[in-house]
Amino acid sequence: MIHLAIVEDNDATAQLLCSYLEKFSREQSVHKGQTPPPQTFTIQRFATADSFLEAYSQNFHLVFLDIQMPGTDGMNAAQILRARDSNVSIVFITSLAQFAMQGYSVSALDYIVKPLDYPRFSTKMHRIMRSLPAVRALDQPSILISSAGKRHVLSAQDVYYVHVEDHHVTLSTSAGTLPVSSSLRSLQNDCERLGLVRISAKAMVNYRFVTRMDRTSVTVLQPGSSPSVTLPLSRARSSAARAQLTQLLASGGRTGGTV
Amino acid sequence: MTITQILSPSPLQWTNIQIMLEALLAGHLVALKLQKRSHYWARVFITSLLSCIIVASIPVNQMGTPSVLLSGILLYSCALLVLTVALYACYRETAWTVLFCAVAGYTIQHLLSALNTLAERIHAYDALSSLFPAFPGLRIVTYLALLLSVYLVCFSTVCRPARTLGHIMVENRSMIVLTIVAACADIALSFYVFQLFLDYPSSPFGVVLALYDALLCALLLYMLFELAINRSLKERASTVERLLDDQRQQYAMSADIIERVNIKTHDLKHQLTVSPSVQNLLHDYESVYHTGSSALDLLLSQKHSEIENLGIDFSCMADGQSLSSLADDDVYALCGNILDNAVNALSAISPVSERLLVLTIKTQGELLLIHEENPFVGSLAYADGLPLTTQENENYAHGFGTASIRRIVENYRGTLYLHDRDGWFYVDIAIPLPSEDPANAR
Repeated sequence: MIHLAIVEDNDATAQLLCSYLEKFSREQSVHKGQTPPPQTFTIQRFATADSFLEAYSQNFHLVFLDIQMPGTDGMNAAQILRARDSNVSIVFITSLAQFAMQGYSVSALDYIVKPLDYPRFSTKMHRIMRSLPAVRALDQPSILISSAGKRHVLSAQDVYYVHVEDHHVTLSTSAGTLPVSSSLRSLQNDCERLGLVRISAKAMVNYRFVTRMDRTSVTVLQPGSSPSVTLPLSRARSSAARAQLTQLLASGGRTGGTV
Repeated sequence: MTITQILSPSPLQWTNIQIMLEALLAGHLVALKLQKRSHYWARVFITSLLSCIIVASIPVNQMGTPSVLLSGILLYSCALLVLTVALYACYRETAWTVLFCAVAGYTIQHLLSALNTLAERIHAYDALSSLFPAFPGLRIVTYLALLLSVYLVCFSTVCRPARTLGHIMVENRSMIVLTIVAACADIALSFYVFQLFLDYPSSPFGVVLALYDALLCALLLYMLFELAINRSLKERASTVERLLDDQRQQYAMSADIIERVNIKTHDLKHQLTVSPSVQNLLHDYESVYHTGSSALDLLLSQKHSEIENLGIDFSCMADGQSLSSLADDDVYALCGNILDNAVNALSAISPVSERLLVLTIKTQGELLLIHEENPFVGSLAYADGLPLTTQENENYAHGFGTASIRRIVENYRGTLYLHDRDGWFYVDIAIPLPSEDPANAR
């Protein structure tokens, strides 16, 4: 079940979008048969960005957001939304492609130019659907870490990097630096699910916080007070790790898959 | 030599025919991917037949007679010459490329015969026959197995890598000289070794010499193909460089024209006499793309009509500002190549409504990130991180396009990752931006 929000002031456009989504959902289930559960949508419509932001809860997977609306416009609304929820996928609706050009600033997934026609909408929706599970698979899981007798539940947004120093594994997280007793190898699977990439025998980094990368090192920002940290890229892993990070960074973690 | 002598060859003549056939097979193996002439198989058949007749008609003297030296030289050089001519008759390539293939093929054949001799010298065949006396044809089977394995090894180790990089290019002087030296060395070597075997049929040197002969052939082959690969790599690099130069020049010219048109547009707009419809037109002209990078704006407005005409749904979310640390002509060539590749692939997609092109350009920290995706038809194989051109007749532009992309990305110490998944092709690029001075950061 995919939770959708349509934020659109024009009733006709909103209705058209709803009917397209229903048609798309029907076609999907016919096309795929019974084997994978047919993707169904719950659709909630908002007439203004303000009413949407007021009622916003984090359970939306995908938001269709009109750019030109009275009150808070779509682009500003997206910025406010992104600050609250880094996972939700945003697709703009616009009458001119030029207005959506800045979609990169809120990591928008795509945009749809009015007037909508169904075949093109369907193509876009296929791409969007392909991108959604990858985002959710990477963003939703959290891991349970016990450090110094305390348990921490950490999500993808919480872990900046993991590294080994003097045979001790420490996690740099939003909850501070957490020393753990397990080995890096045993943490690797969990960390990869969060979007961390192994860059050497001693370190894994979360692509979301990477601010710089060259042939020999990766710099990771630690939000908050601490300065950013530069970790060496091992020679053996350099090209594979850089390819993996590049893919995650440039696509925003959407086209997942192994390198 | 009479006709009957040719038609009923002596054992020695049979040996010559066998050598010729082996050399022909090896030569065709090396030349496999070259441009074939029309009626290829007929040509192969006729040239092979003629080659065998020619080789069989070369006078062969009994071993041990003084004139064996002369007939040996005659035979070996004739075989090479015949092989070259035969290959030339089958492939539409320059004489030098064909000579290269002939020498390589001939060397492969010689490697086989050296190994065969070695097997004889260490009595491997005799040992096998005594082990399995029930199979009289064992010797031939063993020999065929040896042939198959030698050719297979040569084919997969030296010939294939050379072929994946495109056509073997022998347009270089040092390459030609080396080919001739290798050919001469090969002939002299063959003969010398042959002679030595005749002089000392039972000496242990026979084994050493055969081994040495085989090793030298292998080394020669390796050298030949290594040079051919380097050659075509260099050739490729210079083509990429030329292509980039062209694109940079095109950018400089276009930028100049656009600037002049912009000045005129600006002037026109401020003339009160201009009618509202022209005013609108001027507005449209000005507002096609504003990404913050003049090079990207220019490129996008140039590609606009092509993308529109092909019915491509183009989603572009680009932070032109983030491209400011790259040279304008690099931006133009880099994004131009990415778009050209995508448009090329998309033009084969049907129905038209499935032609979707997504381009995102943004920054994260001090990294410039470029992402592009599009559906494509067919499947892709990769060599060294770049997709190989799929169809034989496809122009080289695609291959050189991705090579140019990598060239530019690596010039800026960035990373390029190309891959495909479920019928979609993805380009991901990360380029480190010049570090901000910490003192000026805030």
